[in-house]
Amino acid sequence: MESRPTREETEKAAAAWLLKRSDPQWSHADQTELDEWLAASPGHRVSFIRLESIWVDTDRLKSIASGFSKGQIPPRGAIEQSPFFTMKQAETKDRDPETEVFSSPDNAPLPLAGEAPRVTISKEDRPRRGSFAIAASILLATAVVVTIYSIDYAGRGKSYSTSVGGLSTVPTQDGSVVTLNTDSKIEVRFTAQERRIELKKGEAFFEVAKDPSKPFTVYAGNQRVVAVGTKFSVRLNPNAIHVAVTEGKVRLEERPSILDLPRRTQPPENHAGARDGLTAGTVADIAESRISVEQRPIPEIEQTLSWRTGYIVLNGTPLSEAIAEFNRYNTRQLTIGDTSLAMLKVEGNFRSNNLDGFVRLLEEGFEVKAGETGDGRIVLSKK
Amino acid sequence: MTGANIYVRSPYSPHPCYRHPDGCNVRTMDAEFKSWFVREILAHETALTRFLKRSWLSSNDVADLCHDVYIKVLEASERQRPVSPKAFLFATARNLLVDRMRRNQVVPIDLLQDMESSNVLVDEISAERAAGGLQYLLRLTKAFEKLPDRCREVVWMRKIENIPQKQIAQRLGIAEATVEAHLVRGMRTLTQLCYGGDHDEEIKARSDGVTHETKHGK
Repeated sequence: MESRPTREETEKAAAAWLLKRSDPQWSHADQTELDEWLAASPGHRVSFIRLESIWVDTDRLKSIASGFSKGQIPPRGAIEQSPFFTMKQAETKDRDPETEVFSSPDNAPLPLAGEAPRVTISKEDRPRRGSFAIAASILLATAVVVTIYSIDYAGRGKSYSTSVGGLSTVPTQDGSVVTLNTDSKIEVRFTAQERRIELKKGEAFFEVAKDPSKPFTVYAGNQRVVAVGTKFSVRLNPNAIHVAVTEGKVRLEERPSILDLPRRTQPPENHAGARDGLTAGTVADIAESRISVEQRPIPEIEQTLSWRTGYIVLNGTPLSEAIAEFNRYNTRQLTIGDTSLAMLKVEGNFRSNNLDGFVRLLEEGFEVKAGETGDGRIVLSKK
Repeated sequence: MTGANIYVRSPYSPHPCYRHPDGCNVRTMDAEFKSWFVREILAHETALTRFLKRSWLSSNDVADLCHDVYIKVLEASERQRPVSPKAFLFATARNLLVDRMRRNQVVPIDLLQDMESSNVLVDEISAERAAGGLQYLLRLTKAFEKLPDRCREVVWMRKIENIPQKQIAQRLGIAEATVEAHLVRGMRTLTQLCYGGDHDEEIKARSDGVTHETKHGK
């Protein structure tokens, strides 16, 4: 009892074990020795568990470090100022959005005409987006505008597009601002009755100037999104349309076909509830006739719109999705060579063109190795 | 009563078993037990520290006592996990404290009276951990930013950039033992800061100690 080691000695020994354990040379014999050391005293076990719990978690700092270049230790204070925190600090702790799925009429009760919209909106917990807005505007101002083609068609309006990895801001004559994401294309046609945007490809974020006399309508696939003065994004995927609203309110309508009577302003009855009031904080996915509407904290939506600042934000995102995101922004394409990797959860904040950084991090943080194929693809497989 | 446990390796389990003096074999140090201990016991460190501080103890003594409380709780939990871990933790702390005071023959009456009313038991760290993220990451970052310069640099290289100790030593032109000393210090300081025990004085004293120590290497 007299020669009992002090806490400090025990902690130092435990720390040394933890360091040794991360050595690639760590062997079975070492493990046995560690087990014996742990067995020798409960004090050893306490110190080991306590130090290990934080030391292992320290790895998570990697996710913030991705914003800094390798081999360079960020100056003191820089990490907390990184976009990772400035963008995400507004996020609410409460991540339990109310979700409602609206489906086609055959398996869902029909909302009666005139019934209040079924979309529920949580009014509480809507933190300020000031920090995001500032970060966004600074970054936007410095963002490299890649290519904007502006072609004047007779009566077809102006067409704007970005190439892969591009990001550009398109001001329109009414004061609205459209931000185009990578590999996207829009056509703008303003008439006396309507401000009409056709999303041909990709994704765009709209900040609509208020003008009740002229609805601002975004056509995407077989849908149109009608806004008066609001902020929202529309993304056109091969078989789905994704709408996210961060301010104001939009209405979702089926695009009138040429056979329809001119300008049907009433949405089809069976979707009235879901389509009528997409208010701020709503995310809607439309695939075929099925619409699913979800409420999300606005900062979270803003986060998915982080592309406007040139960032991809991954938040426990499955690797398969993360890769799909990166592939939108880069001509060098990632693929998964090992299906077991698809569900790996990735967290972090990356410049969308920092493909190498992302791959390096995967290799360092997970059991992943990357190999380049002849045709310029990067294949991720298990180590 | 605290005789050394007998170490038995079960052929069926990768984790060691301990035979307790009272005869039963318990398996411990597996991931499940560890995370239970972290979540249910260590998470209360801020509150526990505050509680122990109300006695006459110095910061360093508080940290020692905290450690001893953990030992008692760990040993008991290895045998059988307490139904209400937090209450058990504080009961153990109280008993140990009374014990010490008796031995020292100094018993501040008000302390004894006050002991039951330690009801301001915040354990933010577990809430943050459970919330999955950002707040906890911020806590880690803040702790990291409090490390002394060299220590911070070495921890960054080892943990974030995954550079082996040997290479860090080469790059910085210092002995590998020094790198290790920095990492040991970094690990202990980060742990102390993250669990929120405000042993600032201790950390200061400790970093002075390390600077001195590393001059000699290992």
